[in-house]
Amino acid sequence: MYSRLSLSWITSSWAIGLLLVFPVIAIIYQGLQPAGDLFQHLMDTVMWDYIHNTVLLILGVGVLSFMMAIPAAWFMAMCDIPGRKYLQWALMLPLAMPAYIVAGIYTELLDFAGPVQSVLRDVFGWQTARDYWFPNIRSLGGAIVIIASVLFPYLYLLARTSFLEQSVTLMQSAQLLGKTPLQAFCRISLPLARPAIAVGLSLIAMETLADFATVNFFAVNTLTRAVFDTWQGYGSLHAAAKISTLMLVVVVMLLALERFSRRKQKVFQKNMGQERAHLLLMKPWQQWLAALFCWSLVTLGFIFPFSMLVYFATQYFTDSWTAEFIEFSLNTFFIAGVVAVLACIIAILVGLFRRLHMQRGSDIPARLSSMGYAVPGTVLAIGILIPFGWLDHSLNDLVEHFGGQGPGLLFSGTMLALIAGYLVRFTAIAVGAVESSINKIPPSLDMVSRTLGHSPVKMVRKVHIPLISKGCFTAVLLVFIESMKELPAALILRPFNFETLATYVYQFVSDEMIEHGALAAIVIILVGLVPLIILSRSIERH
Amino acid sequence: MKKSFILASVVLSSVLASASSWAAKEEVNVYSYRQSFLIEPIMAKFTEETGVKVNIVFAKDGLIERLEREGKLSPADLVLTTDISRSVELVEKDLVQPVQSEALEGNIPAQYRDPADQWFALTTRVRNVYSSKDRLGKQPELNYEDLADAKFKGKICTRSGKHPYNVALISSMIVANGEAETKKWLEGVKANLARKPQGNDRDQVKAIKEGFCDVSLGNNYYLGKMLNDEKQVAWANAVEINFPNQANRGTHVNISGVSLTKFAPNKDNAVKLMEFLSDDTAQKIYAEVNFEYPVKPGVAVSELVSSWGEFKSDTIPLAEIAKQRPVALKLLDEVKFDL
Amino acid sequence: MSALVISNVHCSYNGLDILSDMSVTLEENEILCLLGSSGCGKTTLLKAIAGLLPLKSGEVMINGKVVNKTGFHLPPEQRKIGMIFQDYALFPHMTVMDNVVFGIDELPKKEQQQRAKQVLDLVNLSELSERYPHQLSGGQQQRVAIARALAYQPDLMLLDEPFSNIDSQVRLKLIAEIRQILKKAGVSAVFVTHSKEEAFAFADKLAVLDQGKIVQVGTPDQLYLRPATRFVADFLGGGNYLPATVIDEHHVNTPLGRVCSTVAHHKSDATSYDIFIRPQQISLTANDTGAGVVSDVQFLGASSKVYVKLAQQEFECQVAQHFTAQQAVDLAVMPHELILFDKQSA
Repeated sequence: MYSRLSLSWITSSWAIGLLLVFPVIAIIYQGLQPAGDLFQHLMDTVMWDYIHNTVLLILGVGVLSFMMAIPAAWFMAMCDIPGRKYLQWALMLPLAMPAYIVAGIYTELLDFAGPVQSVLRDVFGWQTARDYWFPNIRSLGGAIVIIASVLFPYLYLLARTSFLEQSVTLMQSAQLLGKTPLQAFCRISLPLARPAIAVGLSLIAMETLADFATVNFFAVNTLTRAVFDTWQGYGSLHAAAKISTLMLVVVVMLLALERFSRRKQKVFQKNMGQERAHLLLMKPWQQWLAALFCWSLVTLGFIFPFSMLVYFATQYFTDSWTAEFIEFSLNTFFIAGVVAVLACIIAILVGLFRRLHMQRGSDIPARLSSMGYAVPGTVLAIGILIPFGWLDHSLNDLVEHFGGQGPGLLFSGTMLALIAGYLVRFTAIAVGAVESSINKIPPSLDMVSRTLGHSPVKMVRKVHIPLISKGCFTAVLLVFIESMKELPAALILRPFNFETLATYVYQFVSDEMIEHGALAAIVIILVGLVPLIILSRSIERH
Repeated sequence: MKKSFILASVVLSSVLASASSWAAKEEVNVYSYRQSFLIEPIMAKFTEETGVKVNIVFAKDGLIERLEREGKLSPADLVLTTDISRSVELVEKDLVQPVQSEALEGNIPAQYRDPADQWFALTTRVRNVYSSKDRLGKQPELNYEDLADAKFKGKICTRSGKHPYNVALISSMIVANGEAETKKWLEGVKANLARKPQGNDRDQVKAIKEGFCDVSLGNNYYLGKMLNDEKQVAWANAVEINFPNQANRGTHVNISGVSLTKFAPNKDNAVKLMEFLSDDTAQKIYAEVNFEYPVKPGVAVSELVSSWGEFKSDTIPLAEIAKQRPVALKLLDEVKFDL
Repeated sequence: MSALVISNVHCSYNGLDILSDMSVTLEENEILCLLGSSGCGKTTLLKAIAGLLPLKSGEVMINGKVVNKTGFHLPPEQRKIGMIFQDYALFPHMTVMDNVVFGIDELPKKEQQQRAKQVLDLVNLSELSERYPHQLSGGQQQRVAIARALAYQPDLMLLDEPFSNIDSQVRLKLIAEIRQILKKAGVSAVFVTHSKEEAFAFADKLAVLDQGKIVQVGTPDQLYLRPATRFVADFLGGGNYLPATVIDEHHVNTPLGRVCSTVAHHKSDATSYDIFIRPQQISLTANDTGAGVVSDVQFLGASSKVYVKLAQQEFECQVAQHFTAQQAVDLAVMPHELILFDKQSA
């Protein structure tokens, strides 16, 4: 329904969208500058290998996450398996684990000197690495498994919510029409959950694309690595920006394709019936098998690496427990909290703008504000520095023009730059969560409230905001967790003497002294857990 | 919406407060490519002696770009680098200024500073070849060139070819042997690799211990650090340290350096810190704690490092090496060294 | 052979008994209606028949095949049941045609098309087969749901409050249509509702449920004319309760005078009962000295509902003549088959 919005809303939506996309534009602009024959040189030599690896990595992570998350979400939504109460939040725990930490731990465990291979050697009497074959964790396969095992909860979370929101009668109908639960799942639940699954998979794909620390640790050369090499190695921001731009184009194309493919579907579902747990009646051994499957996911992505960290932390406790530690933690919470709340407010603003304004292009601000998600943090940092630097210089020139003393750097090199960097990267998550929640409000509610004499703003306050509060809550928590873990942008953009827990841990991980960073890693994880638990509780209650 | 405004203004004001807090005080601001826990003890000593506070931002990448964007408004006074090519990049991008200081000239021999005084080395580090104690033993005759020899087939481990330490080594080979010869050499080394380049220099030593390979490239100080680490000492004990090319041009040596930024707001204190870093106290800490070679003549290397013996180092000017960097990177791509 | 036999079915949810000791039989090509107020367990029984809920005990047999007994539960997909849900449960991501062939997609394509065309013709929706559910009206969606179930050729059709979302203007017409469709297709059906009008119009056989138990089963007219309990009597249309004393096999005495029964009532003489008199069994005569006074009149078209006050009690009467408020009238009960209940213990 078309609503006349106040000019301030229209302009602020567009302004925010443009502001958040500005760093991306800055990068694209850099990418359009001639990069000499460097780009051609890369195309002639290593680029195709990088592309090849990137595609394989994203496909691998996508497929594996799907295989992990969808069955788990389905079991949790539809049947009463043993330990269901604990599992439904335990399955979210891996989200709190930064991938590079998990990678470090599994390398410690599975490489030659690790306990697994040592035991094998003892048992079989092998001497050196040449006596036997063991899968190398530092490989494309290893990277796929590790990244998928910490990212799959995105898909799990979205898919489970979507399954829970599907009308029970649809599944019952399918079953009564002679379909087994599995067939009903494939024909009804899965297609209906497609928007949620698409969002989940694209979040995972973009996270994977942007990952640098893990693939670098595993010596997998992806496009992110190419961006990095050209920028740091060849010192060519132009060529690096060119590659980033290409990556961005691919992401945008994928997203557009997905949206286009389901343009005809308009699904407003009524939810009927409560006996959801009975939907899938399984035999006891099947239930135990399902439970085992879910628990092994939790173990792989959380329980095991976390226990290793706890073990390291107890070994090196006195080295790690310092006064700085509390300071770093507070820094981290402050930044993550501010970013989470701002991202959510932005998401509500642009999301409702899209729904209420209903004119051609009214969804552009939302799309724009999500673009930064696909940009690797390191590159993004440069995208932030360009406009912020320009702003700082203009401001100082202006003040000096009038004979004053320039205030120095107000934007770059301050917390503001860091907050902006995080916002550009993570607003996409908030927009996704809030938008899917807005889409679930039937348009009739808008019509009802408008005919009951509410102005758009009042309607938003009294109808939309309460209805999307769950989505907003999810948005705040997801952004909070991501901001806590963010690394590359923080490294470059942070002010003097400013450490977040992630930058602090990374110092140690990058030097393969993960033991010393274990305590900080545990704090990142534990703090990430609190919102996860609140989140799952609130999902349960509704 | 009102709440968000309040929130935004709180954030903004706290940010502005923190931004203005470093103006006009006795302090020095440092952008460091060196990990902060390595240099913190030195900086603490400096503050103790002079009362000047040292603020540090450490990052492995992107600091030069940050400096570039901040331009004349940058709060940074000094940049600490871990590699000659970064120091040269600072000069090429016109981000630093020359420093005329008798103390610096006295402490640092001419070969370890920029002829135009825009960068100064603080320590030197050697690119060694480590060999398996059990399987190969000490290799005093070894040249870097030999690593392409078929006798090392499947026996070499290294970190990424694109790492600045390796790039500098390859650049020095280009200066010594020419581009075509070096490309052939890189192809030979790649064919000899036991596994895809990965990890850091310590990982390669570990791989020798574990039997994946017999030879690896690594900087000298890593061996010192491993010998002093409870867990890693076993790795270090499995290898011999070798100084290649003793019979000809000498072993490749890189530097860690310091430069004064072009618009340094605390120039006096910054120069004071540079002088401090090149002087006995700091040089000793570099030598003792980090097992690097101090640049100041007369400052002793650590006992461990001196036990490795005297060696002849390659005398190709560092600036020449830095100049070959793009060529080295191009060759690495052409032979797909890391892939 | 009976289309459906339910014997001694118990069902509980979260420890609460929803259904207890339920038994009912449905003959071939018969339409059974489960009637009751909300929360009486009628939908639960429907879902139990469909196999969507587990039973605690009891047996369910469909077309002579046991689908539920102690220790055995045939999964819903093997029961050959068509079910129409209150929200129709049309798959929103499929066209009408795709919805209709959903249950028969294992048949050869040609046969699918043929059968789909047949049922869509039957429900009069052939032109809309390429539309999506959200492009259809409520009645059309309903008919798609029925077509989908019919295409599946179920042994038994279950309908869960199927008319509750339909405009009352067209409801009775639709009920007649669908009844005809079911009869034409020769399908037995169980149908759940809380509305007696729907039940009367749709069912061959009626079962009234109260608090998880079947109170009475029979044809609609049987239940209407001879309700076993006050609950059934009230549920199938209210009326007036009066104390009555038996005079003989055919007569009782009431505050409205002597009432004559057309059928012997087999109650013992001189005992007191409560007589239940439906509104249309009272006749009114205008009389200025009449004992009753009209308190309100509700015009219904062919007849009027007239509320008459007489000696503290208000009587509900349905008559063809017209009366006005405050008019004095005489009341008389016409001879009919009397409904007598035992006196309610206070």
